[in-house]
Amino acid sequence: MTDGSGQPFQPAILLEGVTKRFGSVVAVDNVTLAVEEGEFFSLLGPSGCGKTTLLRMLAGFETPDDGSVYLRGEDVTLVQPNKRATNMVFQNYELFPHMTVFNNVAYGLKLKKVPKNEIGPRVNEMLEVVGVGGLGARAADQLSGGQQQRVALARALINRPAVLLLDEPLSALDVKLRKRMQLELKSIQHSLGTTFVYVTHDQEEALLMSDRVGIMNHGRLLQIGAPRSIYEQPRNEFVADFVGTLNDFVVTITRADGDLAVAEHGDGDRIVVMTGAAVGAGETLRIAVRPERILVTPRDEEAGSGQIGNRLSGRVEDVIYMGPFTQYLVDTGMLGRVVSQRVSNEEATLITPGLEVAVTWAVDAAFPLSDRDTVNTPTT
Amino acid sequence: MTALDWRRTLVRLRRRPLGSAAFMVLVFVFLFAPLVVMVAFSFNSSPRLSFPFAGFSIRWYQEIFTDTLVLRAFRRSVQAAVVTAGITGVLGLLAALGILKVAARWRTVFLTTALGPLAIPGLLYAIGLAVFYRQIGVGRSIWSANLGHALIALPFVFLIIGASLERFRFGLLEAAQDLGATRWYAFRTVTLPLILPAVIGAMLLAAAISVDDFVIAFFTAGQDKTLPLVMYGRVLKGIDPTLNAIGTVMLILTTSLAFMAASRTTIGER
Repeated sequence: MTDGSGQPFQPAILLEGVTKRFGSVVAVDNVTLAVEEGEFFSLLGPSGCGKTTLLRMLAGFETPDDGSVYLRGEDVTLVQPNKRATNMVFQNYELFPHMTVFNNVAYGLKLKKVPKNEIGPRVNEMLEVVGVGGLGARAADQLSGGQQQRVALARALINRPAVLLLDEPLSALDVKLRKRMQLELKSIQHSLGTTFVYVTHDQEEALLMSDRVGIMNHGRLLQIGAPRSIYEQPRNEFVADFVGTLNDFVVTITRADGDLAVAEHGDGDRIVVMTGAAVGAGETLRIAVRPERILVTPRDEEAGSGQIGNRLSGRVEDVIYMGPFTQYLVDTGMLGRVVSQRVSNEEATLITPGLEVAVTWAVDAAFPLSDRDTVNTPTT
Repeated sequence: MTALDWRRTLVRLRRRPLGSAAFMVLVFVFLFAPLVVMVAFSFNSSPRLSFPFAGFSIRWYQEIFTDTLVLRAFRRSVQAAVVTAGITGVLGLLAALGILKVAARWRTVFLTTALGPLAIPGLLYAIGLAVFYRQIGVGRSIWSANLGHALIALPFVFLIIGASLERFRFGLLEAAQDLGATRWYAFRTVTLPLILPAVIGAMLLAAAISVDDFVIAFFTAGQDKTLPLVMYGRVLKGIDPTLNAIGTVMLILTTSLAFMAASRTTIGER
């Protein structure tokens, strides 16, 4: 890694055992991570989890107490921010308020001593790319939130950084604009091929935009993976709970059959769990099921009950209409309250509070939860 | 008028009581009447300072603008103002920037020390300076007075520039650095342009303080009399109509400085 002479397959970013402490607080705790060239990588976690500190160490605003930071194979751990091939889009944009949009975007080029006659065309082209063409003469403090965001993006991207760092860049925008910018950012990243490291606390945003997501909590990187694997195969409870909502059950196994464990409970209530290892009767298992994988059927419409899958009987407590989706809170005798989330359609209107229903889900929709973190153990 | 209309009128009256308007007028009369009288008599053709006016004339202005003593004093006052603004501008900016680097628990100590002179009467500074200059063998001159002016104006300048830095978003400097700027380049292209209105405003205020000063100049300027000292000399010989003219000129000078300072610092608050 120390020899950075254009080796192929050099990761754009490599962090090796990076730790940062502020006083007695460990903001980033022994993080090792590689981000590939051209990748859209998100750091996702609750506020205070260390994701912004990690990003600031990539930019050079913070120096790690331990570990090393490599940029395209070159050790930049101690390199000042103005000497790094990274550029940042700040959370509150930090546009220079006394300059025009043009001069904001041209700032980096002037410092790079780009010839004057090249600066103009490049700035205007970049403003077009981010969708604010023609605003060059506007004062930077006379822009809407969305425009500021685009100008901040242009000001960073025009320097053709090895890695673009984005610190919750959309958090100040209203929901509608944010959704649009998410897609635009993704397509800009795709067309330019720039490596993006994107910090957010919004799980939906991270899943929607990223090639890979890293989940952080208490300064530790708990899981790295593609959005689908993060969502569908969370490796620990924090990840499972932070990304999406969750039905979290503890079941006592009554019967084991190879790697299928079955928990039965009078009245034909039955839960089938696929376990990696053999589980004996009497043991307890902790499993989780996403609400959208849970089906609620009125009891009297229930088809033949001879199937092998999961089935719980219950009574609808509440129906929450959320526009495209409807949530059903079902009180089941065996597992307490179960939340189901389904697309709002004609059928859904048949389910009303008080109705006796059957709750079912496919066996592979459930995944085991461990209290232990597979990658790191949180300190609390 | 219906009952409702009456009630509305009553409410409106209660909202804007006549008494307070009258009080305001009185306050303004108290504040500005002396100045109005001075300005008015500066245009009176008669040397007698009593009503009624004999007629409109600018003879007192002609007189002061041909009086070398007054002109020389005027030049000294302008010089003092410029030098004071210069010294305090540079020192105030450096101090305000420097205190940002001071650890938080020491900052209060520094601030109190720097702002303390605001609470000390100018007379004490004047006497202290006079004794001090004598001890170190510096003669009394307009330059000695300049330093004194810088001394009493510096806390104000420090305070104003410090307040503008308080509002300064230091994230902007990170943005500049991220784009490749050195600290010095970032200071020149980002910090300075953004706090410049406040710096200029503070320097204008320092200039106004200098022009306005009597007591420091009285003790330290020696024979280099500034405008207020010349006026004082004339008052001792009895009220002279040229005083009104000099006073009016000074009024215009200091208020325009103060207005410029005020508008500058307001822009700086953006």
